[in-house]
Amino acid sequence: MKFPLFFPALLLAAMLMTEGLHAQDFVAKLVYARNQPPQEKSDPGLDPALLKKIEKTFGYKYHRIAAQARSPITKYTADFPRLGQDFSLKIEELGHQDGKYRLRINLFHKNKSLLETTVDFRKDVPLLIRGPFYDQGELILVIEMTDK
Amino acid sequence: MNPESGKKTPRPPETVYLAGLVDGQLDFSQRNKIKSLVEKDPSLIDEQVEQEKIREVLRKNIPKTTCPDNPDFFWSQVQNRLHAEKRRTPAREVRSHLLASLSRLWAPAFGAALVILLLALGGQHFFSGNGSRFAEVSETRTFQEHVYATAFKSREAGVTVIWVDGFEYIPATPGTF
Repeated sequence: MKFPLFFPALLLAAMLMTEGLHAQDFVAKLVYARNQPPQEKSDPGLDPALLKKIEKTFGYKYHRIAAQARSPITKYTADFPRLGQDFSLKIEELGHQDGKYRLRINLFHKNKSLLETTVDFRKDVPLLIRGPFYDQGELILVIEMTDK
Repeated sequence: MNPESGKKTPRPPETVYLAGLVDGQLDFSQRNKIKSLVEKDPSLIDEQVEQEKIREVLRKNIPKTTCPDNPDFFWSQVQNRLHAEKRRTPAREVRSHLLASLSRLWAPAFGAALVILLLALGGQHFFSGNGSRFAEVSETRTFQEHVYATAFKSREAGVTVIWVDGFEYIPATPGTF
């Protein structure tokens, strides 16, 4: 009999696919933005759409990713990804519903907390945080959630 | 019947024709002929009335007869079973027709289920991905004096921003990044 097997199989496939959609990674990028041209021309390493958003918001001409971290989202578990030598993050998932993830994010500089924020994220919808001035420009923290 | 000789008395032809007239079996010429005879002979009128009464009584009292069973019991049982089978066959045909219809519906049902599944997943993907263009900041705190944070949605850039003022300048040192 094919009928009794078909619908459970379909349900299982749906559950697996839905689970696949729920599996998300937290991605943080510390972008060094400035107006002075770099000595060597290099690829900023950013998605063009995201780069456009950063340019429109902060108005800098040149960008490069100074440090980045990726960590899986695990409910009620904190993760501490590092961003270079001096910066780090603490990320906690407070819950998720209908593709919306509520995260509490702490930004640290040399183990000193600079900022704490609670944000509802959706997949591929970034958040920009204006960081401290650094060298000849400014550090911008880009946070988003992407598929694993 | 003649009681003296014991032989059957032949019926007069008028009586036979009269019976035919009462039964409506005669053709046009025969009917005219017997009618002219009845008009000439009053005894035939009585006979006609008598025969009509008899037929009326018979019509009203037709005995209820049933067909007797086949004398051979075994064959009558076989016959009964065959009749029963004949009665059941249409139901089976209906059932098999229904199953055939369901099997024909299998492919469209599968397709419909797949479309519904993809729509549901696509909808979820849409709402989880591109459905909302902005991250929602519900709370922001800073931990240094003279450091202030403001969250806003930049419609022009299409992005949520936490704008922090007052961080200390960080000089570039080798190995920082």
